[in-house]
Amino acid sequence: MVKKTLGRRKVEIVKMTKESNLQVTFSKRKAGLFKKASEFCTLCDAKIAMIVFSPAGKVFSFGHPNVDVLLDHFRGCVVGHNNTNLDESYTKLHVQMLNKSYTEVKAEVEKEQKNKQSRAQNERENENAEEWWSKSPLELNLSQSTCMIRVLKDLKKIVDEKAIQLIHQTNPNFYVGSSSNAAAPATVSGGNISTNQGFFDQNGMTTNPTQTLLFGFDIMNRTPGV
Amino acid sequence: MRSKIKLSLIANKTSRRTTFRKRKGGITNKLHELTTLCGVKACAVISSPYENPVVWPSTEGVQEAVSMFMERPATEQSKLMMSHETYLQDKITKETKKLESLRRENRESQLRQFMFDCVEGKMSEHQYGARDLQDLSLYIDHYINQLNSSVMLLTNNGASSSSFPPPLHTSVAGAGAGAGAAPLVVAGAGAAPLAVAGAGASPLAVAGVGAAPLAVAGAGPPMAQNQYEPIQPYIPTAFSDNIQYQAPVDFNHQIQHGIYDNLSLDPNHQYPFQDDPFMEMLMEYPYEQVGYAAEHAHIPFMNGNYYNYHQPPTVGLTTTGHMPSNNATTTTTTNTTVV
Repeated sequence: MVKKTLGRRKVEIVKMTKESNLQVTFSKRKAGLFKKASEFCTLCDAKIAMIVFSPAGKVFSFGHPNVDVLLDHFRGCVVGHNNTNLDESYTKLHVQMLNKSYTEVKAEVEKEQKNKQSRAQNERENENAEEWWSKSPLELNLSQSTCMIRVLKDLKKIVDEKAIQLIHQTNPNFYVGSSSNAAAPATVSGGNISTNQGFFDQNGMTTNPTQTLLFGFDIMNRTPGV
Repeated sequence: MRSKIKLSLIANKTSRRTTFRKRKGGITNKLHELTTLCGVKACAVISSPYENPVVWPSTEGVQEAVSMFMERPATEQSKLMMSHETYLQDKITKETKKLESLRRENRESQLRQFMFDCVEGKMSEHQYGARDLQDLSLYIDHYINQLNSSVMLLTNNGASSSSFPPPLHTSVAGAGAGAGAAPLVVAGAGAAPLAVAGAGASPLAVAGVGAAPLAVAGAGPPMAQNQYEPIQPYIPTAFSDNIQYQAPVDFNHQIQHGIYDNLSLDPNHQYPFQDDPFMEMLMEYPYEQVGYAAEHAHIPFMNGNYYNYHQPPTVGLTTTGHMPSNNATTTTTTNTTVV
């Protein structure tokens, strides 16, 4: 298997000659530096201010709690804030919350990436056993495509019918398109079915707003259509 | 393997001080590398409860960088200025977008798998709710659109509907049974199977898929070039004095009234269509139900047609009022060739 990257190598710390490489290196290293600074502030309760000029002449700055306070402090200016401590404690609390959110989102991303990798691996393993209909639509010939369209149209009828049946089972009082319903039932919101006993996660594909909605619901006022 | 550090204040003071000292060195080192490699100016001020503020590269260096910074217009200063909060918010936004994208990809992959499992008759292997079925319905629409685009592309490029290689020999079914006894099946140009009606049988128009349309045995006008579905005759099911023809199946009616009479949320509950492959169910009545293309698509579980041409069932037509009689005295076996 061919390596995708060059891996970790010892980089000679001298000015780079190639302009494009230099710009890319700057962007990546700047991002890494700011990340380190962010972690540093969170873990050690330190205050930091950084100013970095780019090769293109732009100026980037990072500061905790912000750049101005520390620059003023360094230049010997006295900033007249009566409630500095209050601001600081609020900032700390907010940063703490943001860090928590960031950690959660990051964990979710990793989980989804693992799912994606395992799916890709399964697909690679089953590649040889794959039937023609599992291929990409562009790989099918005319007769196969025509056949597949026919089959999928019939499958769609079955799926739609079954979805309606499931809704009736989970909410027997819900009558499709009935004007007697004063408000949308809890199981349905604007034509998007939220009842899910399935193995798919709730954060699935969102319904296309241009799609014709099932079950007589108006997406704007969320009341059953007559 | 490295353990992940929880992003929160280190509770132990000694550990916190050690971490501060090490990480401070790391940051100054990274700054040095960045400025050297890219030939840019940078400065940093680090202060903490443990020691005096640290400046990098030096007090003069910081003052120079700060004065350069202050010379810039206020808009330019604030444009790329980040506080810790704005930095984290920015990171959260980026990660959230990434997460949405990954979820969409994974969901589509799930739905694709679910769709093909339904097609192959493995629907009972899944647990699903109404939301899943609605998403699947939308995905099927999306997939059909892709297929339609593909068909348009292939049609415009003049592609043949059948990609199977031409058969090695011409197969003639029931040639010795007398004229009109059985239809002759001849593989036509472009590997499009052509059913040619035997002499004396009722005329039948058949067009080869992808081939030039042929009018056989005095049939009506030839079909349009892009019309892929020839007229399919009903095949007799019982051969007696009164030939009975199989009635066409109202598939939609069957769906609405037959299949869903005993629906259950229980995932183990078996529905009539769950164990048999979906396509097999579609192919139950291939002549009435499915067009020409589906017959030749060579789906193993659809119709058991493992050959490169379509062979309708060979029917021994007995003497009836509906069909021309086999008169032994006038029977001549003809070898039909299609040019």
